[in-house]
Amino acid sequence: MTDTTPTEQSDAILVARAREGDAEAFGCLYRRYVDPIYRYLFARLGESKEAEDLTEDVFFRAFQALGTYHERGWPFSAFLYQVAKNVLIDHYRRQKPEVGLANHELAFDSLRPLDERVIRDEQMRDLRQAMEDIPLNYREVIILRIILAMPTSVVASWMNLTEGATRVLLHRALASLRGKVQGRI
Amino acid sequence: MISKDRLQADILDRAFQRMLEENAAIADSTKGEEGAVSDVRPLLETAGRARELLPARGPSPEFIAASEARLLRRIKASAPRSTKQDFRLAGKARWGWLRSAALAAAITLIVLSAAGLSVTSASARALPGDALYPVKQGLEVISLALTVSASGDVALLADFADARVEEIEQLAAQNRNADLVAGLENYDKTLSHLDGALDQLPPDSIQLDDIRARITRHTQVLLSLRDRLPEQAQSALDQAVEHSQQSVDRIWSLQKDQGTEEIPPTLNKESTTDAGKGDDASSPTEKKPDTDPHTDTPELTETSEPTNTLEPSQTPKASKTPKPSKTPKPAEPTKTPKPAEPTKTPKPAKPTKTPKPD
Repeated sequence: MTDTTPTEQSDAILVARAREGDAEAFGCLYRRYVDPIYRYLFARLGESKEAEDLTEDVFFRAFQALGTYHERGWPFSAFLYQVAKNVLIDHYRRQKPEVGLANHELAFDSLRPLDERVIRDEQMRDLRQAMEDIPLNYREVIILRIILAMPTSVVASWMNLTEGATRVLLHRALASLRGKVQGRI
Repeated sequence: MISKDRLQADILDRAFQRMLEENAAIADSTKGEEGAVSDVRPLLETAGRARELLPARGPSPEFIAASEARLLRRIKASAPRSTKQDFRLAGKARWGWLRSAALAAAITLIVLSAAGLSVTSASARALPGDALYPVKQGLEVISLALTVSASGDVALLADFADARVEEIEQLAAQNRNADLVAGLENYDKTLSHLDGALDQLPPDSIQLDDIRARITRHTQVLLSLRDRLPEQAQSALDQAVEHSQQSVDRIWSLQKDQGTEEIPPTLNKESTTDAGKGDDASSPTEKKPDTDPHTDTPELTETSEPTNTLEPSQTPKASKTPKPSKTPKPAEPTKTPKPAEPTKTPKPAKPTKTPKPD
């Protein structure tokens, strides 16, 4: 018997309970991580409806795969990220040709003057295209660290890198991205 | 000695953090930093523009609430299969592999005492529809339960997939048309389990090349049977062929997704994807010491853009004849016990696909 409420319990305890079939425990994990997983999927897909559908799939598949998850220093959020990447792979396989960032929804268009919108749309297209053109792990580190503003330590654990390697990867990723969009954004 | 590359990376990270936390301008974010600050500022500009042009968006509260309710319903509906009956995966997680092994050993004893060694051995040659086929399947699931690593699971499941294809060939040779459909469905299910097990492998695993080659061969064998199979088996054949091609594509994607060109092995931690999947798998906690990360930098060689050598489109795609109208596949008709299905929770939204384990 634990004294803590489910929302205060550690991931490890909630995972253990969820493995025993406790849906409420998994619900707590869902509420804890739905935001970063959705944000990640939205950043990759650029489409809120698809991001919503896949977010749900990620958590359902994560629940099904709980038996294969052993914590041992590997955060549950990193496990979810791995599942999310696999869900994306399956999604892209079904949805060829890949659109990804190229279809990014516009979040602010209607509030800007037309000419400004046109320029901005052009810049967004250039940036999206550049993001598609750089290596995948460059894109991943930019999405996680820059777009989602996740701490380097979390990005490192999600990408299975040391923090030092993550910083170097980010540096190279931004240099590569800058090379692609030089003067255009 | 800290390399310039590493020094800039550290400055960039600190300055970007200041931009986030203090809403600092680029010039302010690098104040107090020594070194090649001028080289870092353009990158901070790019980072800032990327944040402006591709803003992060969170889920709506309505979606969160509705999605959670749907998710919990799906979980409750699937719980009896995934958490209670799945002795292999969930059992490993709950009790550890020793307990699974003990359970497997107990089942083996029961099988052996009931049927005898000769019968057990004879079951190895059994085909779908044969009386001994369930024994063969039972022995397979026992051997699967005894594996202690993701790579062991993959190796075994790949062997099972090979066996399913051989069974299909034998059934076709014997004109056992009624059993052919079951054989093809067995292959499809085995491939689903293999797909799930592959998720647990590190994307750079050398096993992936081998598995990809073997599944490609399955596709070729299955397609070579097309003209010999009766109409009733064509739909199942199409499903099996399509699944095998998707599995090959999936492996390509997994390998491509790794994109390890820029980070040398010395900077990668032990495989995450394999972590915790088996008791002999590398644990993420066993990450490489970062005692002097700066010495890592010289190994970080800039590479050219990713090549297309791993494009899924390069997967050998056998030409397909027009498919007969496919009827949705009923969710797992269980004519015989299907022991090797640890996580076959049905996906309600996709009735035509065999549920895949993750």
